[in-house]
Amino acid sequence: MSELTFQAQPSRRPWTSTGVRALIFSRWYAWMLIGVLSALVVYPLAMLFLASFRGAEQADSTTVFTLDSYQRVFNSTATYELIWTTVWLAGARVALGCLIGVFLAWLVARTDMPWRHGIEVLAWIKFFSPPLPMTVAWILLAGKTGVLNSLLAGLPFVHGPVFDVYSYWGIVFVSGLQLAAFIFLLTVPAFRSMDASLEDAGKLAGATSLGVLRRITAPLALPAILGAVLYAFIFALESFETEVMLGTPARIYVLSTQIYILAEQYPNDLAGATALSAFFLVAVAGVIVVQMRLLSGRSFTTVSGHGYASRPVALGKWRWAALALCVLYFGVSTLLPLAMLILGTFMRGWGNWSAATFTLLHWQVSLQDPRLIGALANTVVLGVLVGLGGTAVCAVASYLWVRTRFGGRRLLEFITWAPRIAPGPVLAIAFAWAYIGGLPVFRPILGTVLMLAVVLVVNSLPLGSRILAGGMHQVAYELEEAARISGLSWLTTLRRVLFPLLAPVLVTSFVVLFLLAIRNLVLIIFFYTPDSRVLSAILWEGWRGGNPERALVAGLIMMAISLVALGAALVARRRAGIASIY
Amino acid sequence: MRPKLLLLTLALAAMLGASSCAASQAPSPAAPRADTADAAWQSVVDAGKREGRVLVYGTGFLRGAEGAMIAQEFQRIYGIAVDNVDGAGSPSFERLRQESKAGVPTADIYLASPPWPAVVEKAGFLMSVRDKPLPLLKEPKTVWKVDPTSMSEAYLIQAPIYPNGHVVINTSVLQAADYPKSFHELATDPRYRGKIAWVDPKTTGDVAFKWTIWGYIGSALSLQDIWQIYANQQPALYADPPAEAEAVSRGEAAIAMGLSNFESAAESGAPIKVLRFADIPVVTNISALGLVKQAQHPNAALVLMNWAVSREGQEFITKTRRALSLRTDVPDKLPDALRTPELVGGTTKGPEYVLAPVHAVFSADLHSKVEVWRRLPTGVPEDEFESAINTYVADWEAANGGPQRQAIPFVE
Repeated sequence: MSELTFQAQPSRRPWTSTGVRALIFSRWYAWMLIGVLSALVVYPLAMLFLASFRGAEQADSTTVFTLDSYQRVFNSTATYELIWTTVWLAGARVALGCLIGVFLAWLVARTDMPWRHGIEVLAWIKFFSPPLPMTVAWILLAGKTGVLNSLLAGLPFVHGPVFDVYSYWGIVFVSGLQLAAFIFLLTVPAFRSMDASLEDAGKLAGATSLGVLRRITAPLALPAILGAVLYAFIFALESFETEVMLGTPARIYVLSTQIYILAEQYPNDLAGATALSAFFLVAVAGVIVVQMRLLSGRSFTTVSGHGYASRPVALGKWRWAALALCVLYFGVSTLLPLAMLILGTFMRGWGNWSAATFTLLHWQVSLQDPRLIGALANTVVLGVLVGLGGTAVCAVASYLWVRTRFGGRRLLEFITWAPRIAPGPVLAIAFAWAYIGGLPVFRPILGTVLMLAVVLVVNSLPLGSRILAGGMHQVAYELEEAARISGLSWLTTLRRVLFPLLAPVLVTSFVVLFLLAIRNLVLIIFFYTPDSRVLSAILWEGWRGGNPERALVAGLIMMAISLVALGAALVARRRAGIASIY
Repeated sequence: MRPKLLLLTLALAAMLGASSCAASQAPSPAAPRADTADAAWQSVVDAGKREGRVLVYGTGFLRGAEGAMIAQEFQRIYGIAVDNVDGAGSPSFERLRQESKAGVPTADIYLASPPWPAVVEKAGFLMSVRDKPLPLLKEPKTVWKVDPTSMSEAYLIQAPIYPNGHVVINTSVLQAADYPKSFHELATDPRYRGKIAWVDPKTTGDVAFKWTIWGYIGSALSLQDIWQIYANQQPALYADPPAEAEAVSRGEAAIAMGLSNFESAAESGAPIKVLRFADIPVVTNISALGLVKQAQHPNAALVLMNWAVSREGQEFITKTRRALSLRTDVPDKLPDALRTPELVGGTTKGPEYVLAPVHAVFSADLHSKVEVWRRLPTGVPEDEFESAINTYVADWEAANGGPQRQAIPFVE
């Protein structure tokens, strides 16, 4: 029998700082971790924000500090319009993504819906689809002259285009579908690790299925759902590609677009871009406060020492309807645009569809590209380094703030959020300042895949830490206590108790960070060299170089690598006896 | 006599044929074999071969799979490997700046389109190429459509990007009778309402650039026309020129300005046609190669720079990239659909220019420092728009010694 430890009272206290763990984590090792992360994360961002206060150099070569750039940005009514559009668009997209993602996660993890594992694989495919080409695929599908409108134009009662992807709802739809997969992947582990006997108890007590879902299942998954939703919200605030491509024709502008332009244009306005980024600082701080308030005083333990059952909820006649909903979602969100991408690589010009323009040229040229083999190898190495390195760093950091009473744990939590306080283009410049022109420690590895890995591990801190912290919240402290009472050392306890229990979350973290690393563009272009060229750089070069079809080939190869990584994770899962990839 | 005469004729013909064959195989003045005549240059080539590689930062002819083919060809000839780190002007400049500051290995060559070469030169990261023994410096001026050394001490202009001054029409959307004949007509005729693809000034400086080349230099596009396009013609706005070109190629909009980014559509058989307004100047953007002061492989970099503008190099580059040539002795290799524009609105072609550094920097500053551009899509009063720009231009001219409307001629 298992025991529910969910309670509306202060959670069981984490261990006090004693013994070996106190020696290791309450003292200088933990502070050293904070020091290293500060040098990697806080230092570049601090330099950036400091520069935003710097005024013009005076005649006597001194520099004065001023609030000019902040006044310039925040005295403009246009800034507040941008902020309002950005916030409500992000909110609408996250709401749609949350609705779909959490529901699908529950169906896959907690019900007897058929073909659940196939749906999981589809979610991963959706997650690692390159966002830029997928957005263009939607323009070709649902633009004014897109495939869908062209097909519908043949109907007698249709006059003019039915779909217009260049609109608020176009952005919400395309981006919301993407966020749904993201939220799905982050919440499935929480649903899966729940104890089914808790739901059984609810039913025995007379609750309906909906009541059980509302009063037991959903609250238990709250940390994971909240973590995923809040992270998705920050992600949506910073998102750039979809907004600029779909929003510009409809005169829709968001903050990230403005920041990108200020950072990239000539002459660039880094002070203005950084001042605008201050909004993200406030947003991230707000998210942390909201998360702390909502989670404080409650326990979310679902993995305890009493064993647990994960018996699925029987859907009865709704099983096939549920599957149909999932297939509809993945068909629309993934397979349809993906088909456009694949078809596009076989056309002389993407969007100019006809049998006469069919060609194998793009594949031939791409596969004969001498840079491809090196880029393939670099991409795999980079993904593995970031997956392993990011997971290790995030695991230690989240262990410290979730499961210890280490004095600097709140500071550590904030540091792991810090890379999200500046959108990609601004963050890239801050990292370039710090890692190339600043800290000499990185000079021996500049230009190598290792340097890319360091940058991307730092960039992965917010997401990796959220994934792992969610998992750690669910493991009862009594398990570690029991092991310690049985005489196991702290390290052995970690290795034999906590580590196996967290294995599904660790695998998730590895796969997510691997996938995010291999598709990153914004940071890569500041640090890659010919020796460390990766596939995303080839995709970017093709896209910017007027060869979108060849960029798509690179994108599809990236997806193939992602599928291999996913397959490897599934194999690892089976060998380790883990119930799922999560 | 007759057989002897015949034999003599045949012998002469054979000798002439052999000599003509030899002449046709003889390298051009800038080709490697001619280089060997110049001892100073030969020592550069030898040193470059010993260096063995050259690293290029930026965009241009080395981009993508075609760029890799060009790099392979150069390596085949000289045995020098070419590595390229692609990047738009801003990220490449930032990298160069940080690496130079840290004293770590950086690029040998900076390759970008305006205004970035001038910006990088002004920042002091490039060294002069005029004092180097480059064979191209000795070539007669008549081989150039525009002299590659005409813009700077520190960089060579290299590959012409597609000329601006043409209008691209999607023929499935716009019939021949409706082809526009001037910018003014485009800006005012209701037939073009909702059919023009235009770039959003909130996302790029392309509109200020268009006004600089056709309005400021060419006096063919007024500020009033630009304002009217936004205010009255309901243009379909796109985030950047490639998105604008793609939209016209697939018929989402009917009309776009400029040929750049249409090469892929032209080669794929999209229903597009190129028009050229009579008497309107065509201004071509040209990318540039600069030798970086901290270059690790300076000799190899010089060999690449020289080859890129040599006859041999231009032949290979224009053929591989389907581009215009910088030289009069190398034919252009534009895709067929872009090669022969139809002249409309008159019978006289306007002049051909290349964009000078001063105009590139002017255009970029004009966009970033005059805020009214960015208000065009959401509405700005016409008099405020024109007044703000005219004031900036007057101030800029006063600070730069008067009007700077003189462009650099380009031999068509």
